[in-house]
Parts: sequence; C-alpha cells; structure tokens
Amino acid sequence: MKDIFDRTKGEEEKKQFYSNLKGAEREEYIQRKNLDFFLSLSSAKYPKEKKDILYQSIENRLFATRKLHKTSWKNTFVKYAAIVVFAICVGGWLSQLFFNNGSADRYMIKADKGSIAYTELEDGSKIWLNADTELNIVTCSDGKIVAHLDGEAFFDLIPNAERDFTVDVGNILIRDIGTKFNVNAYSEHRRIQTTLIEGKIEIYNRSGRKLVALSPGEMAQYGRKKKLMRIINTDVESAMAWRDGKLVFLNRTLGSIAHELEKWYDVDIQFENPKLRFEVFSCIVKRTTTIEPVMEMLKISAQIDYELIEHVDKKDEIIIK
Amino acid sequence: MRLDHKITFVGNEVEDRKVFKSIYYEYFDMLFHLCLKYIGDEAVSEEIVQDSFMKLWEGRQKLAADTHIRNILYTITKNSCLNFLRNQQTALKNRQNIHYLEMQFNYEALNRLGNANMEFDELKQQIDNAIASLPEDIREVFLMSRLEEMKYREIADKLGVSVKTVEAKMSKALSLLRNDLKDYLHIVIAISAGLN
Repeated sequence: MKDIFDRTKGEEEKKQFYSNLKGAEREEYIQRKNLDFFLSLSSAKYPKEKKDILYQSIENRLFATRKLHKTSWKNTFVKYAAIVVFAICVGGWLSQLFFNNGSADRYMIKADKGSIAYTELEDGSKIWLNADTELNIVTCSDGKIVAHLDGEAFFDLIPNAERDFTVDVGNILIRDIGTKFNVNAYSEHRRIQTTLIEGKIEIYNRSGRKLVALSPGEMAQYGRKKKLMRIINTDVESAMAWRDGKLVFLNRTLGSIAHELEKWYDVDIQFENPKLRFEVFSCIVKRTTTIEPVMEMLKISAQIDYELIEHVDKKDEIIIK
Repeated sequence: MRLDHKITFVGNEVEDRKVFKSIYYEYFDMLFHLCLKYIGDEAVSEEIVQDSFMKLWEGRQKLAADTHIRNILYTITKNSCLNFLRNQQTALKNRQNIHYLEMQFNYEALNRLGNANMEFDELKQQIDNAIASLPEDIREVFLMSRLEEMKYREIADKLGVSVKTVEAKMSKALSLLRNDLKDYLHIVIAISAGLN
C-alpha cells in the first residue's frame, strides 16, 4: 500500500486510491489513519496565540452575554436574551435570471432557502439577499428603478442624484437617496422593518404620501395589519449581522423564529404549548451546519425544551415544549 | 499520573471559570488535533472545539464528582466530528467527489477510534517507545514526515535520496510501528467495536 498520508499526493491520485479501497486494504487504511492520529498526537502543539483568541471568543459567548435594549412590544412580558456569537460565514449562492419585458428591463435575483445571495449593479452598488428572498429589479424606460422585494435585503447603493431607486415591499415604498439600508419584508411576516445604516431614505405609502424620512441608526417598523409606522432606535450591527452568516432575531415571536429556522434547516417545528408561539425574544446566533446548536442556544436563552425526531422519509421534526 | 488530570468544578462560578480556563489550555491541543486530523478543515475544527468546551461549561453542574474531564471532552468532540462528517456526506451530492470519498473513510476511521481515551497516556508512552526503537535511518525519515510535517519530496531532497526511498522507509516505519503497537491499536478498536 502506497502511503496515502504523503502530503504531496495529488487530487487525482487520491481519488484513484479512495475509489479502489476495498477489503483488507480498506481495513489497513482505516487502521493506519487512526495510527497516524495517535502518532501525531504527542507532537500536536498549536500556537498559543491561536488558543488565546479562541478562548477569548468562548469567554465572550459564555460569560459576556449582552442584553439588547428593550422596546415594549404589546403588553406581554417580554424576555430578552442576546447571544452574540461569532459568525461562520455560510457560503451563499446566487441564482440569476434575466428576461426582457417590453419597455422595462427586468432583473431577478433569488436566494434560496438556506443560502445568502449577493449581486452588484452596473454602477457598483451592492445588494445582499438573505435566505428565501426574491428581488425583482425593474428599470423603466424613464430610468426609474423599482426593486420589488419579498424577503430581506441589504442595499449598499452608490449615491447618484440622477437615479431614482425605490424598494417596493407591497404596503410601502422605500426611496433611496444614496445609502446603506436593510429591509426585512418577508410577505409572511406581519411587520416590515427598514433600518438605515448610512445616508438617507424616505418611506412612502402606496398612494405616494411620504410617511417618514429616516436618519442613520433608526428603524422604521411597519405593521401590515394595523398600518402603523413606528420609528425606533436600533442596533445597526444586529440589523446587518445576517450578512455575516448569523441568524438574527430582534424582538421576534418564537413562532416566527421557528418559521425562519424551518426555512434554514428544512425541518418541521411543532409547539406542544401553543402559547409559546407568542413569546418574544431577541437573539443572534451563529448559523451552523445543523440545527442542534441553534436549538441549544434557544433552549438556554428562551428557556424552552425541545425534542428532535429524525426521519428518513420526511423532514426531521422538532417539538418545542 | 492519570489522577493529575482530574480537574473538577466546585460549583462557585468565579472559581469554576478559572477551572474552566485551565481545562481549556490543558486539552485544547488534543481536541483540536483530533478534529483537524479527521475533518481537515481548520475553521470547522475551531468551531467544533469551541463548541465542545462550551458544552462542557453548560453541562458542568450535571457532571459526577469523579468524571474524567478529558474523556468527556473527547467524547463530545468526537461525536461532533462524526456528526459533521455525516452531514457533509449528505451535503456532497456528487459521490465521486474526492472529498466525499475521503470523508467517508475518515468517518469510518473516527467511528472506530476508542470511545473513551483512557489509554491515551499509556498509548503515548508506548508510541514514544516504539518510535525510539525504529532503525535510525527509518526513524529519521519518519520524524521528518510526522513531526516536521515535511513532504516526501522535501525529505528526499534534504537527505539526497529518491522519493521512492523515502516512500519505502515511511512504509517500513508504519508497518513496524503498527506491529509494535498492534496490541494497543487492537484495544482501541475493540473498545469501539464493542460499544457500537
């Protein structure tokens, strides 16, 4: 058996090797792999600097749990817990479709469930899409650009006095005046949240009446049902944390958090006690490959218990107790 | 010797944080090495090791007084690695992909690694002895490859021999070591076979 543990082995050689690994050779490989681990164990030393950094991050997560400032939402008792966790960036991917529609130019970008998409416009403006988001950018013949959004997107637009850029989220229109802003407008959510990071934006209702102009650091929260707009000061970092691969829930009901987790991890979440659905939480958790670490975080911060039932033939099930 | 590794939480948060820190520095190398060997990705390994320590902290009150911290950490980390490899296998749709193949074998190897690493101290001693008893020329090549992480080509250049010679010596080293350590490897593998 050639030594597959040689670091100079090429991809093709490795592939050959692994594809033909059977019987006694397979057995030998596995024993060697484990032997290799044991042999190198005693010499395993990693830089102190690396250890220190990672330890600091553990300490931050465990001991420096930070509370987000309160905003009263309904009159229920509201529990807050913010777990600020360092991000692992989930590689997002992007699907783009182009098609022409008469006089207007259409450009559709989509981020599927479980991924983040990113696109750049011709002038260098940048747009990020959160999971399960669809953005239709229509450029009218008169140069006006309207972006129809279902989901959540972050806009980093190059200032341009000539251009008229509006985000249409159904109930309201957000008009850009050279800015960085985040819009959270999933059609199934009751509220539309627009957060301004830099520059200036104006929000209009469908009949074209100006509702508000935002200043940086402010979030406009619009309730679709009550048609009420509230302006609150917000943590700008939290509003954008999703771009770094974090799951961000600000003043969200457990029901809507569960809904989002279902989207990300393709699981079915049930509530044993339906009242839990209306409990409100804030938390930021790193997005991980499996749902378990996220549920563990929720378990601690939201003081819930859960059970994970794995299925082969259908989606895994999570029961929140 | 082994008792020295028994660090225990006392139930006082301030004291426990100190204990936690010393546990971290004591076992980081071992756990990180475990992840890196079987997963091969540094960033993922860092995540898994951090998570292991966090799990230990969160579960510290449930630990029995005589719990062997190292075994717990080892088991948590090993399970996380197995989970990761399993999920990766599911995620990699193209079964011909080399990473898929590699992970499949790594999963199998890791799965058979002991479930408790009680033998580590003893095993380490035996390994050191076995390496010391290798013929001089073979040991030289082996240490360059394993300790200094040199590539076969680099070793060959340094010693002024052919890559084929290095390959042959490594192969010899591994088979000698495997022979010397077979009782121990057997134990390690047997333990996991019995438990799975």
